[in-house]
Amino acid sequence: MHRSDPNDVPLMTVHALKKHFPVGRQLFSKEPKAWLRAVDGVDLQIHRGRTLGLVGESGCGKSTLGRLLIRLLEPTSGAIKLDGEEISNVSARKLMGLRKRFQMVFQDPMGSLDPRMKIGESVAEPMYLNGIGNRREKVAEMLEAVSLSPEIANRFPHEFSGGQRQRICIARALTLEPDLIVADEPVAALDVSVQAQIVNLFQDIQQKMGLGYVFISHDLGVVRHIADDVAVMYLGKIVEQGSVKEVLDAPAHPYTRALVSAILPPRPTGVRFRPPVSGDLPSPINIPKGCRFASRCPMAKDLCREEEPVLRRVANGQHAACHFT
Amino acid sequence: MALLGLQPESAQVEGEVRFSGQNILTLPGDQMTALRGRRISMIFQDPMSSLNPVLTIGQQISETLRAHFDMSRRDAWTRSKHLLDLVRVPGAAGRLQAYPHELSGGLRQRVMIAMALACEPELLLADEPTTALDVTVQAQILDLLLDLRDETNLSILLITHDLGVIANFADRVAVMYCGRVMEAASVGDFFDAPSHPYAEALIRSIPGGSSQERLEAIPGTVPKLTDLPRGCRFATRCLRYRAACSEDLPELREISPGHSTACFRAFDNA
Repeated sequence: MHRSDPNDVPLMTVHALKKHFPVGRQLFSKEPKAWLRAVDGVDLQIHRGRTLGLVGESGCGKSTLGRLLIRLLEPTSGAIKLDGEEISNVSARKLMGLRKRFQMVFQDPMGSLDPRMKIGESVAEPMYLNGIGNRREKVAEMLEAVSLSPEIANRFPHEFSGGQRQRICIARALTLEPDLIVADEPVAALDVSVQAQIVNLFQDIQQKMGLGYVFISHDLGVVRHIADDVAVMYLGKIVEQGSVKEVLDAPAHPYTRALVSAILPPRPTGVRFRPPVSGDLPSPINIPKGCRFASRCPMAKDLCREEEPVLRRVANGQHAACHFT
Repeated sequence: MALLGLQPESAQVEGEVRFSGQNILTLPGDQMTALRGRRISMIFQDPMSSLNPVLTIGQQISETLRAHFDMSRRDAWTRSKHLLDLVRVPGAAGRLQAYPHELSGGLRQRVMIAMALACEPELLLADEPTTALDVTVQAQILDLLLDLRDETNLSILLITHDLGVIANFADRVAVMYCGRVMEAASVGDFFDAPSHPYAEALIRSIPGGSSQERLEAIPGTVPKLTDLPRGCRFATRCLRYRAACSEDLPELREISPGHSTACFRAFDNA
């Protein structure tokens, strides 16, 4: 197994990463009316052979962060290092070469396959773009790696079910043998009976090829299953991170605690389930002063509304951004 | 959809749907319209596309009320405010003037529930009402539905793919596969003693909580609805398959009081 020690040089290191989107425009001025702070100062490490689960509610910035990591979006500020080398400001030409090393798998496998391209063409496209030969053999090999028959290369996406299409997308992401795959809600659009197949497939591939995953999901059950480490995002910031065991079994931040207790017990308990927190996510345009979670936090005090907490170590590898942990 | 007569005209619907003893499939259009929204109402998965983006929340709730009751605009408006209070929308009076895009997903779903409950229906069909919402908000909405059920003596048909939602919020469950009910039971019986192989497999495929163990996936894929096998529709993926399963379609039969299943194997030991 390729599972590496977390103390090795990380595959990717992210420091103080920010992405702000302009909203509206003032009259007679180029300045926007406001800034939407989708990602607002994130530090992360991604290791080879390990899976980082990125969790949070929709609108918390986790997809934007995923896109920043593989440079699909330009960061506003901050650093992204791949094997110690800064990549947040490299030229377009150099980026083209770097892209071989990180790939993405999206939520909607229909929307990410060209309906007029044969499966084989779609899977071969990354090799074509990078001028790599031997495409036919590689396509067959990749389709087999995701448990599909190589004969489907001549068929079209509409002939396949959602789960099969997601396998095709995974095969395409693997053709260039990347070091890192960012998977943005890859099983959210699939039937439960098929979700398990795809989660197992991700795990098998990681064991075989030793690559690093960033697995973005709002489903803590799936994350607990597939991830080694977890980062919990709230309104553009990481509020807690650490190993799956630490964070999900002994959550230190009140938001993580709320998320964990919002997981419905998988079987009847005989007791009426009660929601852990009220309210929902504030707008990322008007981020409140102080702690971002204070407006919904059951233990918020005056200090929380004044001063923004920073990530502090609470246990071995576990960090949380709360004044009261 | 078929229950409410909302399917396209080209669809063929057979059988009976009895509501308070009356077959509503044969009702003439105007009587069905009077029933729909008044005694049976529905909420959908995506609250954004089920609300009209150019009308305020207050206008939309009032519209429902005025369609079914002889009510003045002013009365409908007041009643709309009460409804928003009922579904626990904070600052209800102000929200009536808001447009759907100004509300979060959770608030929009609350507005949808308010509209569905406007005429105090007896039956609410909730089609994946929380699938598009976040976990913390999902728990709030389902909790609200249960409170409303108890307060207004409402019956709810909750359509979901999430077994966790079933386990925590339903009394009885019917499992469908390819257009047929495979098993129907109380929630307790269903989780403790599932009898249909499909139901068993579904329960086994739930991530159990302990990490890193392999998930038990159901092999194969769902057959196309236009090209269904002749016998049992689950036969191609079934672990307890035998030849007879591809011959005849098993009927739903009771194995114990209140617990029915559509599988030949379930009756082997009986």
